[in-house]
Amino acid sequence: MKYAYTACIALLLVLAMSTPLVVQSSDFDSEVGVLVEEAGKLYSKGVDVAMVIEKLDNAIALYESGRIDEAYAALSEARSMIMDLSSVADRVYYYNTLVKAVTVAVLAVIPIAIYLLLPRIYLYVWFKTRRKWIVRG
Amino acid sequence: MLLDEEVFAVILAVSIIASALGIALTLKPGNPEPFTAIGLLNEECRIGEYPEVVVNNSFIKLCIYVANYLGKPGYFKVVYRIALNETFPSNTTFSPENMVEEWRVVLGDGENKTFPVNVPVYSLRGETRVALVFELWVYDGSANTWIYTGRWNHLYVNITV
Repeated sequence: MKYAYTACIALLLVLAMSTPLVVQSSDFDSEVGVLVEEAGKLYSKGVDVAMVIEKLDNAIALYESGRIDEAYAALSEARSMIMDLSSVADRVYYYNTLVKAVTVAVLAVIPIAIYLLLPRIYLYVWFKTRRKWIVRG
Repeated sequence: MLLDEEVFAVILAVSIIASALGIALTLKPGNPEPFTAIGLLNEECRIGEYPEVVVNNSFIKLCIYVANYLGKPGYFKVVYRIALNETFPSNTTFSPENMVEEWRVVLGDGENKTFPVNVPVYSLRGETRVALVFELWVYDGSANTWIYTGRWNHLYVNITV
């Protein structure tokens, strides 16, 4: 029993000392992280967020070069870009969904159209190309 | 019959297969297998011809390649450490050695970036052969933490005085 307790305590100590997979972030990281998350939500709705990504990357470059105020100004710009895009995100999403639905409907109708129309079109073309033919007995 | 039945059946079958394929491609999910990538390149940003011998406490130029295929934009950082065989990172844990430098980058879905770095190299605990380790981390916005992706690159160098 004593050995079991010792083994449990040793196991707990090892777990407590093992390296964690996550690391706490700075305020700047969390601000960028939130904006990237927001950009991700817009992207999932089909909105083009390339400009936002570029602005965020620019903000990071400014931050890493020690131009902190400019970095936060760039973050503010990115935030306002995200707010602007958010207002049209739902419209873009509905439009993309509609385009997808119409595409699927058209693709689904093609075999049916071929089944119904191909013999008729073929007959029409066949007769039209031979309408001047003369049948001799 | 004017239109051969077998020919008609073949045309119909081809149209059904093409239609099903088109619908599947239209409705497929954006990125079924999300992943990230990191690459280590030489100072000309090419693969190969890496430095093998480095003077202690000097700097070497390298390039780092980071790619995002997570299906959404991502906030990444590359952490540089000098490690030994026993302190190497794995697919699940990062190296316990101290961080020497780090670089951050935001990438859109499907984007990649290659950037030059100038990294310090020094002997670790008197060892003359060390590994320059570059780990890729991604930011988890919902948990406000950096998460190790399990991807890293390393370069072994011999240290001379």
